[in-house]
Amino acid sequence: MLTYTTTVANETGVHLRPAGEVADALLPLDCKASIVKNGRSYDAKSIMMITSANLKYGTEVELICDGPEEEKAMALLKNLIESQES
Amino acid sequence: MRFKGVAGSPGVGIGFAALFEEPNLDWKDAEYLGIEGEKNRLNEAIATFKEDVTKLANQALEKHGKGHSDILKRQISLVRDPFFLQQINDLIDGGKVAEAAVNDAAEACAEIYRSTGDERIMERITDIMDARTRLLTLLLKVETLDPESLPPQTVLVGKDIPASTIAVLNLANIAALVPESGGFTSHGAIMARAFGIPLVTGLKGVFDSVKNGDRVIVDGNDGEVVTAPDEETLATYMAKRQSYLEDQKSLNKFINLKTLDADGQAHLLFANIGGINEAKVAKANGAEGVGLFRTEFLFLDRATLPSEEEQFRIYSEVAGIFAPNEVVVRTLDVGGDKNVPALKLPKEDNPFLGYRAIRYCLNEPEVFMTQLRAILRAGAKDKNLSIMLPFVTSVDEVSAARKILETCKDELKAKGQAYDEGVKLGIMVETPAAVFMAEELTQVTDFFSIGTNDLAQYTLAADRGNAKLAKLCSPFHPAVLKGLKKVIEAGKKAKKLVGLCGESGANPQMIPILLALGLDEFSVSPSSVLRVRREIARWDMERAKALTRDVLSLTTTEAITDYLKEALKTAPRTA
Repeated sequence: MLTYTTTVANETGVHLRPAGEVADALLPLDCKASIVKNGRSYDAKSIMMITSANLKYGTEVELICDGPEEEKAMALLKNLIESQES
Repeated sequence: MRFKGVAGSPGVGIGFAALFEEPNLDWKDAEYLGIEGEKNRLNEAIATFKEDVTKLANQALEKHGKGHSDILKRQISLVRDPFFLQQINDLIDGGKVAEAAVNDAAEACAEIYRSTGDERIMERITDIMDARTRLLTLLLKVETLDPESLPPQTVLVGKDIPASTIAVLNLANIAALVPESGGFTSHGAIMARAFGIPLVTGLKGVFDSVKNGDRVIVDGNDGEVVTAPDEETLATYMAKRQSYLEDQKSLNKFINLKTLDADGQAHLLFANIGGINEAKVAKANGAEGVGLFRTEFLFLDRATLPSEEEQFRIYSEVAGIFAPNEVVVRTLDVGGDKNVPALKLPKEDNPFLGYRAIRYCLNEPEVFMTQLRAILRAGAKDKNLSIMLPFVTSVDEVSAARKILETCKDELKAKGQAYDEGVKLGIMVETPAAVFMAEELTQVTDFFSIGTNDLAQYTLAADRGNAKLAKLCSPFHPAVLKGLKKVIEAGKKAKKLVGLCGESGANPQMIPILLALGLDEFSVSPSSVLRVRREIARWDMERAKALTRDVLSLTTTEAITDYLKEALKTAPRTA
């Protein structure tokens, strides 16, 4: 299991389009992937869950990936949360 | 059988009927087959969904480009979404039929998007609802006609054909459209004219008398539909279609020409559009700009209002198509007969005289300001967008709108967003009040655009959609012509541009009158642009003025139209 704590880097929050792309890319991976915010865990393979997490600029989150493809998954998630592209 | 209707869009279409019906997605008769039974049905529907939509997305990529294909791909992502699937499965476990479960889960997803309050996310609710509809269609095994994959030479026949359906048709395969309900100025007819597809509307019985695949003739010039034609009739209409197409072809030489009258004097010839596709058609047909962009089409047939971003993108694209030439964006013209479900307006007894257009916008400044900001921003790059207010009856409406416009500019300035500071603000002249007040209104506006359909209807107190009043509700009524003269003269005196964006601007009998009165800009449907350019080339000012003097001395519509018919027959044609 990999865990990593970081904050949302984009000034306008996590955008729907990249979040959708990441959710789509995570879906076939053989591992769990979640974003924990304020003690609540959101399935990162679901664009609906990522959206409902309401990830604004500066929000602190813990990323958790668990399973054979956890490294790949973590890279995708880190990139989503720490990207500054708007 | 022969059916007489309203000629909604010119041309002759000969092809084979495809019947269009809105699918009935009611699941109250669906029986609960147990958890396993329902989940089997669900999984089967989802598998078919993925297969169908993947295919459509690939086709769309080739035909319409990436945007349309991305929308479909987002629908596939939704039906794979773990949250969405979990919701559906939980609901089925709780005893709901698959249809109800899909519906409720889609609502839950829509609610997540809605609760963000973020306009760009809320726009995507449409994707969820479209996916929901498609899944329900599959679960209920409703036969639907896929508007995107109709065979060539299709004549689409329906009791009603919504504009949202016409928008996704593969137009290359559509020979003609026959929506039984509607009129010359209904949304479907306007779109058909823009795309150059024959359409006949305002008739009954065609839908019930044809089967899929039956041969149908649609004469959009004379407003006739013929079903099961005999060989002779078919040959007659083939010839009619041929001569229409040849005439169309002969117009092509006018595409890249300026609009000049026989004296060599240039006139502005713009087009009326309702969206990006029509803008492209208008441009391809040689329109020199847009005299009327009917933005209400962005608001119809949808559950939520278009966001500032969505409007900004659309206005920017249209501005880019015509830059550096002008595009006149008419602000939201809704209420009464133009129903926008998202605005939740109450039904009125007298919608044409009701709470609509500028009256609504001034009362609901949020909706109005969203649109104004989008236009201001979209005009930042090429500075070629103008704003036009519909249904104005008094000076203070224009002053109030201008004040709101200034507030929008201040907001954008404060946010550091780029916008067009010098944007022009004009009005539609379509009420008798605006005609009587034309001189005063020139003091508060930058330009006029006369809407002849409504001006005739309101001047003559005659419903333009009532077939029994069609003769009365004519733009050639001397009262309407006097109104035109007064408005154009007021504009000239104040050095304000006067355009005309009603259907009569394309009428060969009206063109010499408008030229003689000194109209600055003609704005007509995209498919009429070349015809009008050819017609204008036929008139020199001396002849047009002599004819108009005679016309204005006549006192009845009939005398005027008879005179014009004769005059156009005998007058020497320059081109």
